[in-house]
Amino acid sequence: MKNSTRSASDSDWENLLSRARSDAPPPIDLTAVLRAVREAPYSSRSDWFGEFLGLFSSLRAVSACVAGIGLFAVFATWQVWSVLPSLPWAQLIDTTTGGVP
Amino acid sequence: MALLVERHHEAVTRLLWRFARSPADLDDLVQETFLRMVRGLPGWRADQPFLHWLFRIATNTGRDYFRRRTVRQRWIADQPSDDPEMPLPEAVEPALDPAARTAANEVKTLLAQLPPDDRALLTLHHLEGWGLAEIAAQFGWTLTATKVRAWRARRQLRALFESSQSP
Repeated sequence: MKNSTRSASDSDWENLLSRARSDAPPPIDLTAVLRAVREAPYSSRSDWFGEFLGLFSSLRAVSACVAGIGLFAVFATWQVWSVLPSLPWAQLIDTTTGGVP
Repeated sequence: MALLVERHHEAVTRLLWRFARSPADLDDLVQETFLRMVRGLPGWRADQPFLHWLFRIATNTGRDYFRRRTVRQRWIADQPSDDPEMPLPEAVEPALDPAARTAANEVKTLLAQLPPDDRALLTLHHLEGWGLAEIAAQFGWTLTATKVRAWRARRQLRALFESSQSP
């Protein structure tokens, strides 16, 4: 009994929704909208400062940071590797262990 | 700029009519959406469809409208006046399909009793037929959060509808 009441209610709701969806909007005052848009100040990002700020927007900034950190890590590892034998603590390990790392 | 308005105003009007409670509010919402479009145009990226971006502005405008109405409703709740969600000056602007307008008003009145974000979600889902994933993307919510919110809001709406149906 309760289920039949609920299904009747569901069907009423679906009917109401389908009728509501077919409601068309009334006409708008397009002239007023066009006038407002024409009078609105439009700030184009043509100056260099705007372009610079644009670089830091949204996901672009995150991906740029990740790429920068990756490049730095590769460069730093390469530099350390190239001067490793001349580092004092590396020479210390070399003398104490006899060259075994 | 005028060309953009002329090209897209019908789609934006149709969408915002789901949010608006009166033709005057619809005018305001459409105007606000296009003004936001003008201000935000430098931030639009050409790799995303323009209409999709414009709809995001329109849905956020609609959501802000719901929030403003909720705040106003709370503010005047103590005063012995009519419910601000009730007056609908449709008599001035007769609908092409009065039965559809009556049904839409009935649904909007029920939705008006929900919190603003739930109201925006179910307005898009029930009246505009949008999927939950699409709504989540529009409002920047996760899909799971949107599903949970939709489930709770639907349950609340069902209770409201059933209580409105019972004599």
